[in-house]
Amino acid sequence: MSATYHIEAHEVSKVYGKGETAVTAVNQVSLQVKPGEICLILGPSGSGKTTFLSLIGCLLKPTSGKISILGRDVSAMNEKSLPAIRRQHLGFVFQSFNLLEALTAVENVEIVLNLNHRRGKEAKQRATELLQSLGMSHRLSYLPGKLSGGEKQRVAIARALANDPAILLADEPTGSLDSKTGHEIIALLCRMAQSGRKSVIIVSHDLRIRDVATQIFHLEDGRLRKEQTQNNL
Amino acid sequence: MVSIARKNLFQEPVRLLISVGGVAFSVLLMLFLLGVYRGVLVGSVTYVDKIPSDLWVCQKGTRNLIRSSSFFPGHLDSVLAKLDGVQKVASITRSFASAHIKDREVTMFLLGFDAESGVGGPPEIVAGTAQLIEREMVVDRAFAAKRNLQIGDTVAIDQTQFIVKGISDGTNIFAAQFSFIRKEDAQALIGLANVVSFFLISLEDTATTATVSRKITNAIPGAVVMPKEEFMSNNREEVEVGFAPILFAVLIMGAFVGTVVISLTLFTATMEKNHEFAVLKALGAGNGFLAQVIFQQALWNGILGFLAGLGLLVIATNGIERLVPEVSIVLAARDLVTIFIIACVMGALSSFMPVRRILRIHPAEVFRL
Repeated sequence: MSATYHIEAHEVSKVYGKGETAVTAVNQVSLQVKPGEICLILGPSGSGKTTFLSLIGCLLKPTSGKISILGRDVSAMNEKSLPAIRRQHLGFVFQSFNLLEALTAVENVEIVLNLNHRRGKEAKQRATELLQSLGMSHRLSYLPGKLSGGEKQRVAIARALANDPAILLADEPTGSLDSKTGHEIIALLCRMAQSGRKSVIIVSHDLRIRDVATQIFHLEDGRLRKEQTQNNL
Repeated sequence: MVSIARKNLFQEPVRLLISVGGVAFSVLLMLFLLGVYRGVLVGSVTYVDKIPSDLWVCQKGTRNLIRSSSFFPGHLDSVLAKLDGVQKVASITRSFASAHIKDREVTMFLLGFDAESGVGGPPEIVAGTAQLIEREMVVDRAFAAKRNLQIGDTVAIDQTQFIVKGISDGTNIFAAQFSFIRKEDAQALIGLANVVSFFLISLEDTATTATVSRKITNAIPGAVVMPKEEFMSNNREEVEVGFAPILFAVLIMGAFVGTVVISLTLFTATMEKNHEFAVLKALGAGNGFLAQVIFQQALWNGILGFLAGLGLLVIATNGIERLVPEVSIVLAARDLVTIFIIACVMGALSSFMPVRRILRIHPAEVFRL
């Protein structure tokens, strides 16, 4: 495997349980994502999308197969090394935003910088600038409870971008948003992917994302099938 | 750096109030008892400390002023006065007596002293005088407050009416308060003329304690001589023996209750924030960072609880001392430091269960809605 790809998954499987009760959530999946690519994974509920995203996101370890992030074999790493990979190279955007309720918008972004040993004024300034670039300058000191869904997702995107990761992983990023806001968020993710040469993996049911995706995959019963796209062609 | 601990703590004021309140009351309990203990300790030695003497002479078997069965013939003072190295000799007669005060029967701790020299008399007078003549007395301030005694009031002891002429301070040891009468009156009450309980010896500048002590025990067989510091220490020990186990038990109980309160509220709060801790793990926070968040929350609870407990004690002290005058609350800086450390340890211990909980949270739980 080479570092030409930000993400490389090779025959990755994830099995939960043992013996007769074993369930194969992801089965022999392979995938490669280059810098600047937007990869859409479609699939019905229970198809293994979230498990696959967890594997790519270094939240779960595969039962078999190999996953490389920026050329580093993360499937062979021990549990203690994975948080550093997540902090430095991965950004997460969730359907339910997952902002920390006690922290303001700017603090929600600042905290991931703190986790990456960036503190004080520098961290605050970076968090503020990111939120301003996403049109959130008027909501910096707002708690999540006071923000709309779209605003929450912008904060979540700012948080995902805070440490300038090479890879963005988004789980149903438009799932909790209205149509107009969903469009804006998709455009935002595209902009991030293209301008920052970031790889974006989106797990979604939202068919609008098909138009911007460079690769589309269908995940069914844990198996991944690639679809030819205009962007891909 | 963003303090998640502080933010989480102040996010829910009611939970914070319960947690801090629980710690505050256990701190109040510990400080109160420690304060009473310290007050009794101070009270147990103030009288002895303020008497200008170097040696205390008592009968064998007596170690302190509180529990004593010492009796000497009073004329032995002239024997002692003649010994080399002795500058001055004074004596006191100590006894318990049953008294009638305002139609109530009470037990009084009486100290008969030489009213002319004043040695062995009240260490501090807060009202009236210590210059007593026959059938006059000085009572302790707490005793006077408790029995509603004022200067000019009478106290009947064994058919003898005594008039209160003065109110003293530094003469309260919680379980008893010292009252002072002339030595002759004390002897008359006991029914043994010229009997004393303790000789108080002042040494010449050139004399050594050991040499004079040896001379005294040679001159009065069966006498025990103690330097003032040893006698004070024995008084202190007498109080400690009775008080320390109770104090220790209450300190442990207080600390336990406080720890349980923080632990339960923190554990509940952690359970409710389960998902947020999973989010932090997914974002790359290590277990050490998250444990630190919980630990800081617990420590804040301990510190705020201590401050609130101290505030409650300040408010309560005034009322308690008025309601129960014999209770004297004395706290030294080291007591506050001790309880502060205990409060911090309570916080630290209470973080154990919540920390164990968050260590088990899997970052992939972030996808659970």
